[in-house]
Amino acid sequence: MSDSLLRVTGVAKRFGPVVTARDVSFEVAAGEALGLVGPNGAGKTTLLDIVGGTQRADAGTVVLDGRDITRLGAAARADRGIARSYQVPRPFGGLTVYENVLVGASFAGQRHARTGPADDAGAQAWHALEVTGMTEVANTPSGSLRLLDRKRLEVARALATRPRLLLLDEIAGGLTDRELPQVVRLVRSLRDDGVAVVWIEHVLHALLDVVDRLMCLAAGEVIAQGDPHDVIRSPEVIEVYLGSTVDAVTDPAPDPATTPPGETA
Amino acid sequence: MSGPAAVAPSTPPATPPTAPTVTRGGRGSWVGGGAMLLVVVLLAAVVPYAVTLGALSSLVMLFALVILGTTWNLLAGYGGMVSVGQQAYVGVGGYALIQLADAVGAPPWAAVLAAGLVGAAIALPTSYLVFRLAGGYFAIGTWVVAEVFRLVTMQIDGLGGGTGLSLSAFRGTDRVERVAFVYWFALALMVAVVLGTYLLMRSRVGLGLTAIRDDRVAASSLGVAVDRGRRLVYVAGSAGAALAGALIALSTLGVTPGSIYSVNWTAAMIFIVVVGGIGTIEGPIVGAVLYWVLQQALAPLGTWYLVVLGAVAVAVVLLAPRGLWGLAAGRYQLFPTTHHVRPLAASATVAPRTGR
Repeated sequence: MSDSLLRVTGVAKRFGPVVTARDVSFEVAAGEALGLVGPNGAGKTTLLDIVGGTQRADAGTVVLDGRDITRLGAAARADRGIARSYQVPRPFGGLTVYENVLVGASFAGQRHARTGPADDAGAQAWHALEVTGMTEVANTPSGSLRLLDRKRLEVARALATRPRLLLLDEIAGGLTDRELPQVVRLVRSLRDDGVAVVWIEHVLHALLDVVDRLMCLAAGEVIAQGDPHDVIRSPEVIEVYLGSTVDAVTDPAPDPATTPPGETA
Repeated sequence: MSGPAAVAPSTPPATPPTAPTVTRGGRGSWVGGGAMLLVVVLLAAVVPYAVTLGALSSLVMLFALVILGTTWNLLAGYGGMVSVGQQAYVGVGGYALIQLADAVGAPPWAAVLAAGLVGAAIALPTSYLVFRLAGGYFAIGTWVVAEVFRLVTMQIDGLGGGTGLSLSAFRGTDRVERVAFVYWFALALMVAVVLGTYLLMRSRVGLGLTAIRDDRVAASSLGVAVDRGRRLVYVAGSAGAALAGALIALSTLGVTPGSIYSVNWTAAMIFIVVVGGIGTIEGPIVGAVLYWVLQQALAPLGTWYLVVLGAVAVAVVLLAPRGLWGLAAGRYQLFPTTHHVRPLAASATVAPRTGR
């Protein structure tokens, strides 16, 4: 299986009596988008932490591009092309929006000098702001941003590292009907450009619009993974969702997220 | 160029994104910089001929305070490490200076610089110890380390035990010549430390350090080597404290363990940084000048001096939480570290890092 970019095998993690990951295994191919769903507390964010390197798994391995990165820290993984957005935004409050993004552009990958000299960090940062529509607030201190802009900044910062694998943690929650299609288009264009994406999202119709595969976690275990529409219809998934969310999905109202890319919102 | 193209030839050459126009600082910074240059020139060329030797010695203390404030700010304001034990390195610097100048026979200027290096050399292994502690435990831990340094110093033969050491390298040197030398050397050192700190914080490394201060986890996720960055700050900040300690010993011609390892040095650093404005280059300079002026003006009042100092600190923290410089920051930056971008025409598409 040399064509999988990310291979997670048998990952386990517990906090005292609480199991947040139990024998979790999955793969993501280059340029593939994997959706991650599950009820609150299912261990979705923990899984991203383990892949991103901000938490160590108790057991199991994480392999990126055939290389075992289980023991690497977050910075070394960022260097190898893994980027991460946080569900609860973590801006560098003392820096402007541009400088926040410049951190991503200046550090990850630069040590290996594969992306050219650090001189183009500025260009890379600016580009990330353009793609996420944040150029207007480039000089704003990030500590004074609205919540939605903070979430957008999370994505911009991650993009500025020019990742090969992008881990997104609930970037669509709270977006308006106008903004949602923009996010969907952004993620889709990233994937089409060859970036692998793992996306945790409660806004299911946005997720289903982009992802190639879907994985459902419950109580730290993978209860279903595969074709997105099969997964959301599987009895196990319906059971953990107690029907409510599934109703919304199986009976989709005409929603703006399905607007084809390229059309103006 | 063994770049991405070699690995993924199918990737079309993405239009290189255009860099935005970035300005750092404006006319205010040039004016302010010019004013500071003028002050330095006055301090170097006019003041020594206009004031008494006693005043010159007390200005040396001001320069040492600026170095202490600047380097403690590096730790707390940029590294997020609130150390209450930097007197450890003030002491190491003081003792190292006297040993290097008297026992080794190094010229005083070289002994001061070498004392800074000794501070760095001791800070590096110490960092592995204190970095195991976080937050309040780090603060207390550093204080404990400083006490250990003091006690160990007193136990080492040849370091004078509880009475300390006096500097004899200047024996036979004319007093005027000695005070003038120490004054100019201290001035040069202060300028070098402030400029060095500024250039560090303006650089890519400084950007990473600020990111670490604001959010360590997010910084690591963006590729900033957090442990290495913090260690760099701790070692550099401790070397600065050692330089200041060496200057103080050079100026006062001796050390005693009780005074050179006194926690009051760190209390002064905290006052200087918090009152001046934490996380700015300018703040510690403002704070050091205020601290020094209060010290000079209130010295005859005895204990009341400490009461006034405390009242000033409380008032500033309540009325200007970002310090005195915080009142001006935003409008003025004498040492501009921020980036101001000017928008430009929209550019190319996403350029993913394929084929790494």
